[in-house]
Amino acid sequence: MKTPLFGKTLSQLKQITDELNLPRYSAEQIARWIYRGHARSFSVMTNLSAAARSVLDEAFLISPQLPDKVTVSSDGTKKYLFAAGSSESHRYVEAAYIPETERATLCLSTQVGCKMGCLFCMTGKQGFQGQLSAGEIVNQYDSLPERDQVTNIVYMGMGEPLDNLEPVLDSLEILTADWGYGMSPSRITVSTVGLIPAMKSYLERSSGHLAVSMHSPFEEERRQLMPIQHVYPLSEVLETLRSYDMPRQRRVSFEYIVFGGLNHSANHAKEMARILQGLRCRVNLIRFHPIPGSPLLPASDEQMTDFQNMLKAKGILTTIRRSRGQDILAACGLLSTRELVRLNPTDY
Amino acid sequence: MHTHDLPHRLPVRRNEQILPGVQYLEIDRPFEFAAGQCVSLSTLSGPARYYSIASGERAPSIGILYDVVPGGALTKQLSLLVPGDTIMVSDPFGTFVDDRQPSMWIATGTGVAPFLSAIRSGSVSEKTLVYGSRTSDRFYFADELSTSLGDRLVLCCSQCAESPGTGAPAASGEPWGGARRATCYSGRLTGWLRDAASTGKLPIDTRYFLCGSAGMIVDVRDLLIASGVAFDRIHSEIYF
Repeated sequence: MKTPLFGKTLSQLKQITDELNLPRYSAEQIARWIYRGHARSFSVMTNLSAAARSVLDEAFLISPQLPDKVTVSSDGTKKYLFAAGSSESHRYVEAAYIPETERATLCLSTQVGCKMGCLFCMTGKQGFQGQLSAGEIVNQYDSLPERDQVTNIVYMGMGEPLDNLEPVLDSLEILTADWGYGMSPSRITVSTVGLIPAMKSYLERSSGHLAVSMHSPFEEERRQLMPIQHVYPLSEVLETLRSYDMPRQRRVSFEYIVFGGLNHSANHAKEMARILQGLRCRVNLIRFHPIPGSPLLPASDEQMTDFQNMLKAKGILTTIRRSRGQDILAACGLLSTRELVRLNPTDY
Repeated sequence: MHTHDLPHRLPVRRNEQILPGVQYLEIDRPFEFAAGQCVSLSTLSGPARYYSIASGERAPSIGILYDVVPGGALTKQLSLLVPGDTIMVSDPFGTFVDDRQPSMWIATGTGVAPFLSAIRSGSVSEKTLVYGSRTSDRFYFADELSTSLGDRLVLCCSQCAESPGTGAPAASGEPWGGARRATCYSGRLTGWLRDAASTGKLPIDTRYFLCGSAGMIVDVRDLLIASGVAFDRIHSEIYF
């Protein structure tokens, strides 16, 4: 059975070329063909020797995977369904392509399902079925029909990216390296609920932006929404962020879903100002998209705007994320492949 | 001190298989902790992962109940440690800590660890533990749990055939997990909860503490909310 090369970093390709006794520079040639050149076979790699191409073809394949399905929203957002793992595993993830006037964002997934169990997220409701490889993460970009229009990538789809750290870091390297796709790290944002050890690794080993899920500045209230609060409380996440001397080109933002009647009071704004004081950051307010069985309610447009104004009045740079793709269940918190995943029999 | 710091280098005192794929590790206790808290562990060469403490607050040792995960980053290394080997340990952290008020505890597999710690720390009265497993031999420390909780230990065995859907002790054979006084339910944990809710026996105004797989957490939480339990009364400890 041939080993897929798509998703390998340069150092991983160098290991392979070393094992095959190929010239060391061939690893970078291969990387550039696969990623920049979108090569799907070794035969097109004309700057490799015929012998090298033959050796590679015997043992390896380049196998990015086209999406299985696309659903188009009335607002132009597209949701793509990708298979993950083996064909027998029946695992799928969704990615969302969000075109706007001056930019186009790809929201990609990093896990099949999610373990974090946030109260407001549909992905969490399907539990966790598996990790995506670096290749499966990058594939969501490479196989996108609109790939050449993508200006920004956000790791905000299915799964907690920092619970799949090494493949995520490899994917970031592939996306940003000159031998890879050559994207600017300033165009990439990774979102996290705040897994502190992995967050430190991300900050140290990558250059993209960081978005932290806050959803409440009060520890007990955040605990009700996000079980991770029991393990890595918000106060420790903030303390960790403060300990880093962030370069100016690296942005830290806090994601804040506004729930009607719950987390948008003057006290919330006051507490946010207190805990974020001195931290160079911005807050991104997000509309809650109701999910089945959730006791949480969406906030009105007026409540969203009022809260934004409260935060701005306290000097917090605050934006309201425009909901996109809600009619096709592509908006924030709605991605799910629960119906498609062949779930193992539960033991509870 | 951050949860990622591992300042304690301690010798392993015991590391025994409970059942295939499940082990219990003991190290000397170098700190105070509250039942329900966790520690991060690492071997000298492995990554760090966090685990609930399973031992009592006043025990001389820290006990860790863990699954040996095929392909897991750390647990394979942990399983190979022998007494005398060095393990790196963080200070305790986490807020999945119950008090003495009435509570319902819900666990699957090694998710029973924080409740085991609470029981071993003397927190027994007005606690009910609903413990789910696929087979009757996978209720860890069930005998110890039932000695403390009696019929307030509810064992739900999803693949046990006898007396399906009943709340009676198993009709035949050995007590499940050696738990002589437990309430045994042949069926899924969620089945027991639904039955309790439909007969008005599921407490609505008490607090719930859930610990186990991500799938169990979200399914049980949804069930409890649908049954009228306020979401702010539900505490979840996720394992990842």
